Amino acid sequence: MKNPTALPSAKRISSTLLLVISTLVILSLFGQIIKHVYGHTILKGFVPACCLDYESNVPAWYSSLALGIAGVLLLLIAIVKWQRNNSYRWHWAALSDLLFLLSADEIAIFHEYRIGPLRDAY
Amino acid sequence: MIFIALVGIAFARFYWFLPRPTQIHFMLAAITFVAGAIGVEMLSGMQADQHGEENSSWRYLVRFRPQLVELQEATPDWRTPVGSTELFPIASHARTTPANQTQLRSSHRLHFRILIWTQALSRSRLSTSNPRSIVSSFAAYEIRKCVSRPLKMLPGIISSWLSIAFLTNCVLHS
Repeated sequence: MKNPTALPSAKRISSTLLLVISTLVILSLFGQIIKHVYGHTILKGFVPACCLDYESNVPAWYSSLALGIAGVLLLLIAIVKWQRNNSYRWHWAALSDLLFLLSADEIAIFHEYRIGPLRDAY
Repeated sequence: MIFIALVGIAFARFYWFLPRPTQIHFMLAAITFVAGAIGVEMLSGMQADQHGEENSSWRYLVRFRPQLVELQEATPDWRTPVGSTELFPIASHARTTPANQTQLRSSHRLHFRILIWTQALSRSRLSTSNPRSIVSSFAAYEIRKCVSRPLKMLPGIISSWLSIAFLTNCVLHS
């Protein structure tokens, strides 16, 4: 019987994530084919919901979720390192902060705020 | 650029002391992310400047960038220096035996949880006389449960969320 306390292997997690990404890429490509070949720009919302280039849709949500989970794991590592007074505790905490920031940016699209002012400036 | 250089210097030593597989995965993830976020953006910018945005080459470049960024997220190295044995000390000591296989099936019950805790404590090197050590071990076990369960449920959650998002969009745009 399987050990219920065993962590999933790195290979298995990577495979699962790759499977999810492949599905999203196929759905997005399917949407693009429908849009550019058959001329249906929305198709009841399917095209914008699955397009990898758009913001605030299914791929963006997945992206933010993946970054958030990575941030939580790094935070756990940072906590353990902190308890052990490890010399690299700040580095783990900084990495965790960075991943949380990227996760928030993926959903809140902070990076888009500067496009207008920058285009006006140049 | 100065800020990035300073961050690079600060992390160089940290990176050097990571295990070799983690170093490779870390570098691969960073290269893929930067190549996706900045590299393809620069190429598509050049293409848009020269030929405008309404052509298939530009569209292809723009579509390619998020795919690279998402691919980077699939290359985490979970075998960090902390590892499961270090981060979750109880998990590495708690092993199933034929005798408790029946109880394992009722893993949601409290008595099973207490059984696992007791087994783990008796097999681990943790000092049972130190209440802080016991409490932190229990906390580590519970955290591990909280992390592993959603991971196992992730494919199911994603597929159901996709269905909900798709249906919602269909309703909103119809």
